[in-house]
Amino acid sequence: MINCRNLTKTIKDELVLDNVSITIEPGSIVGLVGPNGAGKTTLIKALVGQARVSGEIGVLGFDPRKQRHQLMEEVAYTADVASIPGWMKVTQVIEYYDGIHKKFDRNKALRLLKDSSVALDRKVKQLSKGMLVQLHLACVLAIDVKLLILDEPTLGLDILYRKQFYDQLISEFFDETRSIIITSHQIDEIDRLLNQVVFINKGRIVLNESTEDLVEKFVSLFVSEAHLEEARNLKPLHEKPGFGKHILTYKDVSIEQLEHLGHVGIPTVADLFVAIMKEAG
Amino acid sequence: MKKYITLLKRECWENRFSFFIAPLILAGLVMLLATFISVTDCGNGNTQSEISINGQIWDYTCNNPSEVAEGDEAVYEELNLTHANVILDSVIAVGTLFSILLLLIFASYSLVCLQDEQKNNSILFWNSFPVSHTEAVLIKVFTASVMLPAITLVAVLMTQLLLIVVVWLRLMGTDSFEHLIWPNLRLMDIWLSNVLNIFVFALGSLSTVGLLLTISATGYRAFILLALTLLSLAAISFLITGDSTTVIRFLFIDTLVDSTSLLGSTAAVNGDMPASVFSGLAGQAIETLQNHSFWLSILIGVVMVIAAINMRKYRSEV
Repeated sequence: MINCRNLTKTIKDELVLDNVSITIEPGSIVGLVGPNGAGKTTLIKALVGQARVSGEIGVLGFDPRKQRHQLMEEVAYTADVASIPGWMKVTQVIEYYDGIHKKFDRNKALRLLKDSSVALDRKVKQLSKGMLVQLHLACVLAIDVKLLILDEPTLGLDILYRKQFYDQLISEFFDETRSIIITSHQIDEIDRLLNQVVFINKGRIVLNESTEDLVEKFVSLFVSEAHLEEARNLKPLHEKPGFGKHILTYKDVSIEQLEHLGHVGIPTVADLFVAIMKEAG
Repeated sequence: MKKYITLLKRECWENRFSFFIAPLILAGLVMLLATFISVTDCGNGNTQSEISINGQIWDYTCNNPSEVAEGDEAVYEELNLTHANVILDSVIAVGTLFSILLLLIFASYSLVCLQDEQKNNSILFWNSFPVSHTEAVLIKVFTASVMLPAITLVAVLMTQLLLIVVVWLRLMGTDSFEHLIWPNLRLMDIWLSNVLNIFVFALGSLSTVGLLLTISATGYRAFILLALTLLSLAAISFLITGDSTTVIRFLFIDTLVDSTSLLGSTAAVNGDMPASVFSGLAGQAIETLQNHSFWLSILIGVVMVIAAINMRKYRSEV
């Protein structure tokens, strides 16, 4: 579905993407996670033909740099910033999607909006930030595309709608022929959805694993002071205090080596993110 | 086709005021003026409406020329013909007023439409649709060069019809309108010539719209303001001195203003009623089509439009 090799991009002598290579198969829900300025949005813009990059790039068989508009027949995308023009009315936004996207389901969009607080007769500039996000998401979820790219989709939404949104994403959009790429700072909210995790830092991919492999490669250890030094000797990626103990995250260390030191568990994506980002510097 | 209709609808939604409300306001003003003049001019001593026939002074705008002419058939006919001529003049003048408005909207739309797309990250939204840069720019060319003149033409036709209704109401009870004025108005000639004029205008405007769209696509407010200032200065200088720079002459005068009589022509109404109003109003356009420099300007226009497409692509990518 997506195959990129050695994507590189420099802005004002700063390497924004540094030889990024990534492959995404159909049926994937990929979490693209990284700190601010890591290159997430630039990578996503490259995937939808809105960034000039060097290297090989193929999305659904198209080169986004040359075939953006053909590609966008099969891709729905929301940016990380409010981008729907303020002068448009909600009904005009829906009519525009309906007129341009052959695969847009107007009734589905209206049904999704019915569950939201967005009034159809309003102008976009009159909507709150949360309403604006709801409108954009309702529209992209109503497009029958193969790839959905959501850049910080729930930014500005309250927790109730965020949960509702992710539930809808799975029930209304996802199946094994489609893929979703999500970037989010709210890692805890998306980690249960993902089947592939990509960490990016300073323009480089520092982790790209399926969630199945994560479970096999990474492990957490809850250890008391008594075994702390022994646990540290096994070179954890990361250490943090928690529940009166120390939580250490390891890579490629077997459970057998750890279980006599304390309670062994699966690290959360958020813990892994912190661990790997610290390791990557 | 649905896609292109939607793209055009978008231009109409975004520019509702300049495309629709402004012409409506102008139509309202014209009607107000026409009604006011037609109610008050007869017998008010306005020498503009007086003509001399056989050494005698007549007011052709008075309600019943047959009474004014005291039964003299020749004078009666002469008065009505003069009146028809003046009405035709007014009807064509409506076109001139709307065409000035068209030029203003045409220039301001072409100069800001691609820059507006880049405001507040909107370009991310527009580029998330399966619309190529070429389609996006060509729709704007079509809007400026074809849709805008077409909207203007409809507004002109409606206002002209309303103006004629006002004249008809004013002359109600006389046989002047039905037998002399109406047959001589040649409305079909005016409207058909306008269709041809719009076609030639669309071709002639390519170089101008291409240049303005390229400036607009840069997205730099300084460029746009500079272009706007230069155009305004050139227009003011042209209005004051009647002279213009070569560039302005090529871009605006030759290709837009002088290529057709869309911006008003007095050719049809100078002196006596011409045999064919169509040839009077469309002759300029037909002549333009035979001019080599006109076709050169179209070629330059095509190059400028390609430049605008590439500039939009360049500016919308990070």
